[in-house]
Amino acid sequence: MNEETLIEMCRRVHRLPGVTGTWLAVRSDHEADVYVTVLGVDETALHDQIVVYRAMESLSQSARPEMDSAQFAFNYYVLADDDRIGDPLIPMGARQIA
Amino acid sequence: MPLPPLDEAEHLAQATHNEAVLDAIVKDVVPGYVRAFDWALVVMFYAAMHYASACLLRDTGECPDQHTSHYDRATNTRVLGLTDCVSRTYGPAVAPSYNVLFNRAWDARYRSLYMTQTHVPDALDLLTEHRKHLEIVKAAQPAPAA
Repeated sequence: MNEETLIEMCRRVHRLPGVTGTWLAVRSDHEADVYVTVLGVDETALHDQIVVYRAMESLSQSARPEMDSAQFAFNYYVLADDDRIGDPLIPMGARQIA
Repeated sequence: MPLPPLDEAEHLAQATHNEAVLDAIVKDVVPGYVRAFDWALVVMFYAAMHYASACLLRDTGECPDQHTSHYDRATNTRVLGLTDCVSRTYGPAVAPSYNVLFNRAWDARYRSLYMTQTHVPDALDLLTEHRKHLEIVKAAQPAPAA
């Protein structure tokens, strides 16, 4: 699995409304997780999160043939970014992409 | 000893049971206020999860017992998680509502202090949408041979 594919995924999703950051956690040659933070916890934030989920679904579908041929395990998480609730839970070692 | 996995009918029964619990929670209102709104969100996700699991068993014959995908070093194979299977089988129509409900339930359990009952109607809409989309998928399936 080409890491650049995942980095490009992060860059694309970062352009969406409400997205405050994207992180890539490469756990091994066969596993990676992407974390996307979206501003707020209100109704606008919910709408923004749904847009992000749709985009991530579309992007991960495009990357699926490459992932499948490499037996690559991929997960993504969309997290609320809001001062009132503390820092989003992004694992140590995840690299901020954008 | 691990419990045997649920079959399609058992997943549907569990989903229906969860929705009945949800109804009871949502009806427990002090005018306009759902007392246990955070637990309503948790129950909603588990109803959605069992609906999705039942449909996966029906449509693919398989249903993972973990939420996320991982790589099994012992067998050098990838093991798909439930979230990934929902996405792969039912696509962008179902996956976003399923994922948001997953997220809401997680937040309700661990970070509920920021949540309010205003999150409940949105999540109820997502559960309805999730169920509706799975029924659409179901309707699109050919009828089983007699």
